[in-house]
Amino acid sequence: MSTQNLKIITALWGQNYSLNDVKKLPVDIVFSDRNIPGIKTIPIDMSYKGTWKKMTLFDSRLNLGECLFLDLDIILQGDINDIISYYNQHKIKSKVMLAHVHWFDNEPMRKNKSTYISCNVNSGVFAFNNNDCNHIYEELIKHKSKLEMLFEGTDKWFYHKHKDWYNFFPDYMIQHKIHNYSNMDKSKAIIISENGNANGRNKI
Amino acid sequence: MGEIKFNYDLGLFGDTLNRVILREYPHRTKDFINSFLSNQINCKIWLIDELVNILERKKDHFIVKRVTVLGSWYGNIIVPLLIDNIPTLQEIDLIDMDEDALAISRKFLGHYDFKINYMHKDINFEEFEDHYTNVVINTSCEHMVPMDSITFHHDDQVIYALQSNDMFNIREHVNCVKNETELATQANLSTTYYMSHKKLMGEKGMPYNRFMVIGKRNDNL
Repeated sequence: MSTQNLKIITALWGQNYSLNDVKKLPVDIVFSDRNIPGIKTIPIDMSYKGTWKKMTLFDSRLNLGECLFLDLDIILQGDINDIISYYNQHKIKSKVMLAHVHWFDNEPMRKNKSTYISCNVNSGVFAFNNNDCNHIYEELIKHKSKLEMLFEGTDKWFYHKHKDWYNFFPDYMIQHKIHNYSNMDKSKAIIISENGNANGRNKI
Repeated sequence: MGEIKFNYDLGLFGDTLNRVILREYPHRTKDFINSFLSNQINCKIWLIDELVNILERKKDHFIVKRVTVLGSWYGNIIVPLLIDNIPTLQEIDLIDMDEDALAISRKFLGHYDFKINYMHKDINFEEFEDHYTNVVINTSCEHMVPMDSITFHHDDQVIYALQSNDMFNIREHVNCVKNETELATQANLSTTYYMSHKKLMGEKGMPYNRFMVIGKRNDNL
């Protein structure tokens, strides 16, 4: 499903998710450690730990153009075109549009300045232009081992070191399955996140 | 322990707690009190005690005018110890990524008639090659990248006094070590003047080791 010249992509590696999870989503490309029949598959760089692999999608040599990345733990509840339209109307050159963790109180996160643990960024859903975000990939390869050591994940790297790299989708568009600090109407959500790490790792 | 001076003004602690922490930074109350726990105080006295012994032996050719504290937190213990026990000292740099901790430091230590530089920097991503100092202190190496990735101006002339621990189960501890030898190796210290450890009890009664090395990146003593 290529929508308005934008490619919908996901990533599959390891044993936590399966082909069935990929098939639930309208994806054009899968970055994966295996071949997936019927869907364009691009090998993902397995030398990176955990979610750091996702950051290799910013390598402009992939020449992907406009992209919307979806994690395999999301539930598509509404029309994906609404998210794509919003991105197309509000995108800023060289920035990534990400999900905002509004389902937890952001104030304690703002006050915690002594560690890299707090975070209100969620990269379960993000849109970007692959041709304009190579600076993220360059920083990734420059600091690879340091980043994997210091940050529990990529979201915390963005939140603590690169606030100028991103903006957010509107809160109502992406909501969490369980948590709902801001008391949003979940029926208005287009995407529901089932992020298992949401209870704790991003909460502080 | 030798004759380390630690003339702490408890009234100042109470005043700061009341005037600064409770009014402006109430969310930091527990953290501020934690900075006064006995382990915090004893381990900083341990560091200053051993550092002063080394400086005494080297006093004919190594004069300490400037000390840089990495991950300084509130600086509430280490700064009074440095000022009271290193008479040649003229300047202290407190470097931390936590701007609130530095702001509290500034208020807490403001009564000292001493040059203290409060530097808001993320040590993990900062270059210090142009920063001149005589001694670098880091009592929280377990929170940061290995010290061999951090170098200062005339680095082979700098004395490094470093502490870390083996509390691997603490979430913020990204870089614990198993012993003092690993800490020295990680910091690329080719000469070690002091290397030891203390067995301590953590907040929840869990025993752990705190390791300390003092040395240089230079084979010449």
